[in-house]
Formats: sequence, structure tokens, C-alpha cells
Amino acid sequence: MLKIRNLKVCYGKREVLRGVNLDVEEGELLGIIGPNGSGKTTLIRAITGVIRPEDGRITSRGEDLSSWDRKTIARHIAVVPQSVSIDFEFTIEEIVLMGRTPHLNGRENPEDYEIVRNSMRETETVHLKDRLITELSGGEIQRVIIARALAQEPEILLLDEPTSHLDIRGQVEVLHLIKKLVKNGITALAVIHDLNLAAAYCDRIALLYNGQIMAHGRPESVLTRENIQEAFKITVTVEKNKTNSTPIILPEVIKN
Amino acid sequence: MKLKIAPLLLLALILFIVTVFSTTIGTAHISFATAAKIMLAQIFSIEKNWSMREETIILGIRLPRVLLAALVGAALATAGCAMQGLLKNPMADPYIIGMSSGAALGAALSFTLHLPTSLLSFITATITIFAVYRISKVGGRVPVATLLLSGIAIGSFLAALTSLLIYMARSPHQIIFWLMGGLWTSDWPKVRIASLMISLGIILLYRYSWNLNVMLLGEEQAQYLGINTEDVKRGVLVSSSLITAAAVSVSGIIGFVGLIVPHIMRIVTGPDHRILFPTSTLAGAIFLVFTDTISRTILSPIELPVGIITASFGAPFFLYLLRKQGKKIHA
Repeated sequence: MLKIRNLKVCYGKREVLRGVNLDVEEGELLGIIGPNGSGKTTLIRAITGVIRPEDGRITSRGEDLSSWDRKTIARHIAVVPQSVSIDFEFTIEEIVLMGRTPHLNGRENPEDYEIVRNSMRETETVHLKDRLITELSGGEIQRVIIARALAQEPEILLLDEPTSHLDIRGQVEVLHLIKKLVKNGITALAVIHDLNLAAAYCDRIALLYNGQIMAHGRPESVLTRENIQEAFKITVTVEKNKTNSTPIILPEVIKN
Repeated sequence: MKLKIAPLLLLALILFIVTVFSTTIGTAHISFATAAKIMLAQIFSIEKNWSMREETIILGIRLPRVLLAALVGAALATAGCAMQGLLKNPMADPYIIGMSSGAALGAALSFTLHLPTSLLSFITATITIFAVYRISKVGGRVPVATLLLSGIAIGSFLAALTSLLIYMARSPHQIIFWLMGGLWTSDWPKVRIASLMISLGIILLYRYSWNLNVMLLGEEQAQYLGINTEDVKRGVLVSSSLITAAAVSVSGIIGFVGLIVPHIMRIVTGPDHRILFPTSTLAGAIFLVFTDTISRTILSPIELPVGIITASFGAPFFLYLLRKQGKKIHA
């Protein structure tokens, strides 16, 4: 569905991504892993056109995204950013309604509220409707932001470390929710730091290292001892989950 | 977002009462009912039972001043609200990116060169904002921090020039009075021009309410939600500069209204610009009509610059609200 060909992105003189080729298939959850500074967030920003690539093409269903304006992109692709801290006292319903922005022409109508309600239902945030965003926990905020993304009615969902600020329960809940959304037909690309969670939830994984895709494919073929050692510079042992044979990565304790 | 209409109606009513009330105040005694009837007679047909003299005092002398106060107050509060929202900076006011210094230089020049003050200050204020915007533009984008800093830099440069003019001037008190802000030169032509520019600018700003709300979440998120943030920045800057320049050119630099009124309204209504804008507009008008009435009566027959009153009444009230709320104040 989403095809990235020969993507090159620079910040000033520094090449952050080069020669990136990546396909996101319709209805899959693709995980992006890689060490800090490997270009994961830049990839998301390039897909949404927030930064202009130096070279390369990004197409969705065969259409070149670089010719689309912000509104059209936002109707097609929604982003759940890394961490969201909102100091302003908007209610949850207001925050989710902001997801309707690319569809609004003047004032919102009952249909927009219907979509907002459905998005909140899917993310189990309906009960938070009238609470203020400033009062919620990290996990709740993340579900609200996902609801906002769904209100955009996108075909593709990009998530930038959606679980990095959450405790283990929050992480599992959010990934479970994403998995459910993918099952319901959305296509998702998620940057995930935790290799084990990525292995457990993603259909496929791409390992980004030094601005390039080092490996991509099924979790067990990407998350090998050698790949991880090269990308992250640590030694790990890779075991297999007995029930579903997804890889489990155990870092070796560093001894002084 | 369900809009709350009640506060708007209440504020509109207060504005009407304060406006009528302040036209009744002055050396010649005219009752509230008479003043209200004289004004309403301009719109509706009301049987005339007042003297020609009363009508002249109300319509010819007091009303233009009160209306100009309302317009300037509305303009400053709305522009302040827009700048705070756009820059996400609680210190922001309509003058923050050098507007006041630009206008002041124009006024100082006009006194030195004997040119019309309103016109010249409007021109220099507009040129200043245009220059600040151009200087802050890097590769098609205007980062908010750059905008603020270059505004402050250009502002201090222009302020230095103004100080020089004041220092060299034969009668510096003229410029200094203007800098303090006041409405004593009000007349109908000024009301007409100001109302045209200010209402146009305010309507333009209202159209950005939703986008400003979304941009409070951060520029990048706003872009992900389909907003062209550079367009919004340019539009908000142009509109709020237009109304601020119009306000400054007819009244000098009246401080505090544009800083405090939006904050007070934010405490009352919350951050949604769709309600925050209109309430700030109305509250700004009420506040300046009220303080201007005080400034021309408190030491009667001497008139004080209204800027002195706005700060000395507004600051304690704001501090009271701040303490009572016990909340963090956001832009």
C-alpha cells in the first residue's frame, strides 16, 4: 500500500536517511526498530511530508504523496506522535474532535461527533469524554491521541514510539489496541523501542541502522543475534517463545 | 465543542450598560435613561423628550470617545489573545514583536516633522511588523522563537531612535504623553476609520480560532492534522497587526489591556479560541471604556493618561484572580 523508494533525507549537510526502500502492505502492522539516532522519527516525518526528502519517492496506492497538500495527506495518514504533553485544558472530546480538522469545512456537524464517538468507543475512551486532558495518565492520553488519529479516518496510521512513556501494562494495552485496529482493516507502521514487544505484536519488522534498512521481514528473521549485535552493539541471546515461537531477546548483563 | 453563548450575552449587556453609563458622566448632568434613549434613537424611532444640548453633548462629544475606547479595548484584547495563542507565550501582548516601538517612532517623527500622528504611527507600525516577519523567515518558515527574538531586537533598536528624538525634541512632553496612551483626541472620523479596520481584523482573526486551538498542541501535530501552520501564522500576524496598528494610531500605546484581558478570559472560559476570542473582544471593550471613564473623572478637571489607570486597576485584579485560581497560567 505504502511504497518508499530510494528515500534520502538530510538535515543540513547530514544525511539522516539514505537509499531507504520499504513497503508497508495493506492491513499489516510493520514495526520499525533501530538504535537512537538511526532515523526512525525522520522516516515518519518524511512520509507525512513535514520534511521534504532530498531524493526518492513515496507513494500510496500508486499516488505520489509529494503532490498532495497537508489536508489531503491528513485525511489519508494519521500520526500518533512520540510523547504528547498538552498543558491546555481541553476536554477529551475536544481533543478527539481535533482529529476532524482535515475534514472540517467551517463548523463541525453531528456526523463529525458521530465519528468522534466511534473513535472513542474503539479506543475505550468514551468514559473520559468530559475529563480534561491535563488530568489523565500517560496511558489514557495515548489512547486519546490514538482516538484523535482515528477521527481523521485514515487508511494508514503512523505511530512514533507510542509506548515509550508507559508502564508495562500501558505498553501492552496500547499495542493490543493497535493490533485490534489493524485487524479491523487499518494499515500501521509503528516505531517501537522494545524489541520483545515488537517481536510479539508486529507482522513484519524493519531494522533501521545508520539511516539505512539493515534487515526487514518476519520478526524471527530480523531479530537475530547477529543483526542486533551489529545495530545496537550489544550481545544478546535469542530464544523462542514456546507457545507461538516469536523470538525473545535477552541482553547479556554487562560485566565490568 | 459546545459553545457557551451565555457569557457572550452577559458581556454584551455589560458593554452596553457601561457604554451608556460612561456617557452620562461629565460636567453636564444627563440621566442614564436620557443617554440610553438618545443613543437608541439613532437606531430605533423613539419619541424625542430631551434637549438639543443634551443630544450634542452625548452624540457629539462623549459618544465618540466612549466608542473609540471600546474599539481600542476590543482590538488590543483580541490581538493580545491571538499573539498569546500563536506564540504560546503567556508574556505575549499585541506589542510583543515590536509593534509599539514602531508606532512610537512614527508618533515621535510626526511631532518633530509636524505631520499627522495617526497616519505616521500606523505606517511605521505596519512597516515594523513586515520587517520583523521578513527577517524571521528562514527557508519559507518562520520559527516562533526567531520571530519573538527579532521582534525584541528591532523593537529595542527603534526604541533607541525614539529616545533620541525625545531627547532632542523642543517639547518632549507631547511625545511622552502620546506614549502613555490616551483617548482625548477622539472624534467621529477616527471612530469610523478605526471601526472599519478593527472589525475587519477581528473577523479575520475569528476565522483562525479552530486552527489556533489545534496549534496549541504543537506545530508538528497541527501539521499532521492537516493544517498549513505557516499560512496560519502569516494570517494571524497580519490581522492582529492591522488591528493593533489601527488602535495604536488613534490612542497611543495603552498597555496592559492586551496582556491581561485574554488571561482573565482564559481563566473563565478555558483555552478554546472560538469562545475565548469573542469574550476577550467584549471584555477588552468593557475594560477600556471603564478605565477611560475613571481616567477622565478621577482627578477632574485634570485628565490622566488611561494607560496609568489600566495598569493600576488591572494588575491588582489580575493578581487576585491568579492567587484565587491557584492554577498555572498558560498562553
